[in-house]
Amino acid sequence: MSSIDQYVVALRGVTKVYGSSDVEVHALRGISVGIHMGEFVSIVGPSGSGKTTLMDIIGCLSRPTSGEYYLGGKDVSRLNDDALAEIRNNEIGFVFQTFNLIPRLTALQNVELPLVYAGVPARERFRRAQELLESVGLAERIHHKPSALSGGEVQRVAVARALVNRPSLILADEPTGNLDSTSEAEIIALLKDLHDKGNTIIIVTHNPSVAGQAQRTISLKDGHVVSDLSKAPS
Amino acid sequence: MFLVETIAQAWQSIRSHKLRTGLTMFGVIWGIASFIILVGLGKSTLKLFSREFEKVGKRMLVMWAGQSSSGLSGIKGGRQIRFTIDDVEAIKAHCPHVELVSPQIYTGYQETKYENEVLSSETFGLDVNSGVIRNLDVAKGRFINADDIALNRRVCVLGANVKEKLFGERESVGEFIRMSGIRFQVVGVLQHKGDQLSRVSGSIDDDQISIPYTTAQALFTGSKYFGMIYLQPRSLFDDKTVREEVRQTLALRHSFEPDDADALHFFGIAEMIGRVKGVAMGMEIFFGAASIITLLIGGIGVMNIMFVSINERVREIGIMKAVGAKSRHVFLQFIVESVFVTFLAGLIGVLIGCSICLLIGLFNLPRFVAAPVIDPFVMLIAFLTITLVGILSGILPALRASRMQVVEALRYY
Repeated sequence: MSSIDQYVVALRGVTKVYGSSDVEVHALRGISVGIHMGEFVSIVGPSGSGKTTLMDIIGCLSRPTSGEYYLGGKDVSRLNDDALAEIRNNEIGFVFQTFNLIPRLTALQNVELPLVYAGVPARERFRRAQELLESVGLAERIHHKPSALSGGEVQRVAVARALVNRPSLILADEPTGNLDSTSEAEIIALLKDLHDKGNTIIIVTHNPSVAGQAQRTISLKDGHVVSDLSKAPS
Repeated sequence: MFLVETIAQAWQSIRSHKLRTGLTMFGVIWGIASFIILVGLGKSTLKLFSREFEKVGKRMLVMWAGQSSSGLSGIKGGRQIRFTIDDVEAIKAHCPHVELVSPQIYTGYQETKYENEVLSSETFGLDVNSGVIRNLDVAKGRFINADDIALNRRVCVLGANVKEKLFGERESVGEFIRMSGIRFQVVGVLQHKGDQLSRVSGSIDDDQISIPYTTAQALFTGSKYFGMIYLQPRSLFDDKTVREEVRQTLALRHSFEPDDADALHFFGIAEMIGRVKGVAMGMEIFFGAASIITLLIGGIGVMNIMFVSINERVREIGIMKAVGAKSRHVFLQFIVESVFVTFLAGLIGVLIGCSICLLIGLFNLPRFVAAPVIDPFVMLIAFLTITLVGILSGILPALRASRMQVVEALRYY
């Protein structure tokens, strides 16, 4: 690793230990990874390999126990909760396996939510959210609540929400885990399309067919990176 | 702007649990409604009784003569003090806080006769000022004047009931009546006052006849002495000062110690209103406190429901934080929700309370019951209390929500 500035995500010797000194669980045991702007990366590994923990750290949802994490060249490994919230708000778009939309809010309101915390004026919020919902093919359903949408549609709303703050990084945690194969194909196609438009995408999965869509696959086991393979550009 | 969003979200969250929220709000609604009604009742009762007492004279202070308990400068104690008109003059001259002063000479019940109508009426010998001191307003004709006093004129002013009984609908001013056989000309009739909670003697003012005090002395008592002087302090607050000034003035003239409590006795409207005020204020504080306690218990209900709501929405809090909500956003979200629920309940409570106040006013109430007043100050207190209760009820739940760890909240099932 030459300079951290050339990476969107740069991890150096990151460890994560859960629990107290008596019962320590070492989820990550020294991870060093760099991901460039515009890459489409999958992180794979069996249960307990630490991939969810790694995703939490990359997504600024938790802090590493030791080591450094630079996001867009900025050290974020020691920031406090509110500063991390701001980073998540500005830099990261999440797509979760369990969708994680707020059930009381409509598709539109869910997509607007990150912009509410960013302090974007209502008119502008509406415009951007509506535009994104149209772009994921939900123009007719913006006023529906998640309960009135299919699984594939809900996940497309989640993708729209992930994009609404124009993040430098999209993090998808098992995004097709709860979807049927048709919806899975839709979401994968959507993510590939986003990658083609220049977005940096990290996808955490144990589904080999989903992982195979990425240019680069990082395999974890027992908290270590066991392989980091890039496909030759096709 | 974030606040607008937050309130909109709070409204949605309330709407999705109508029954639960409604039941929670009941405590607050009840507390606020009873606060407004009960405190309003206290205030209206005070007003009612003050008005009742003021009927007899709005600042009237009665002084009657007692016995000196100790002597002064060689004169023995235990003497009955008797007033003369010189005492009245001395008070006029030496008591700056006395606005008006007049003798009042009790001449007892007199057989009063006009044509075939006969009555027994309580009669008082009064001075020119007595009308003002005792709130005796003339409806027709005039009150006793200085010439009546100077010339011992045989004139009288009739209470409303006396006129009614003797004359009915007929004109009375200018007519002659007989009191214990002596002819008096009616010069005036007083306005109708109605029943009185406080009276100067056994009968109400409507049943009395007033004559010049000089006439009363000449025809009925046959003495220059009398036992009562009526005073009007410049203001209700001067009540104590006036008593002091009058004691000082008369002590010198009648040779008793100025601090001799037995020599002069006083009773005044200020005292009566003060007592009623004490009772009314006690009532207000008691009722107010009782309803505020109800309100606080209602607030605990709100706090409880906020905890329930937060426990149901852990995932939601996780999502909010994941997409960028800071601790203060989450805190504010739940505080606003709590204040919103409480305020809504308070508003309903205020409306119910006021409606009940107005509703009570529509009924024909018993004599000494007044419809509760709707007091702006009480409203203000009510709204401040509601807001405070809302904030207090929300603080602990909102703190818990804002301190949740995002990773744990997101994966909470």
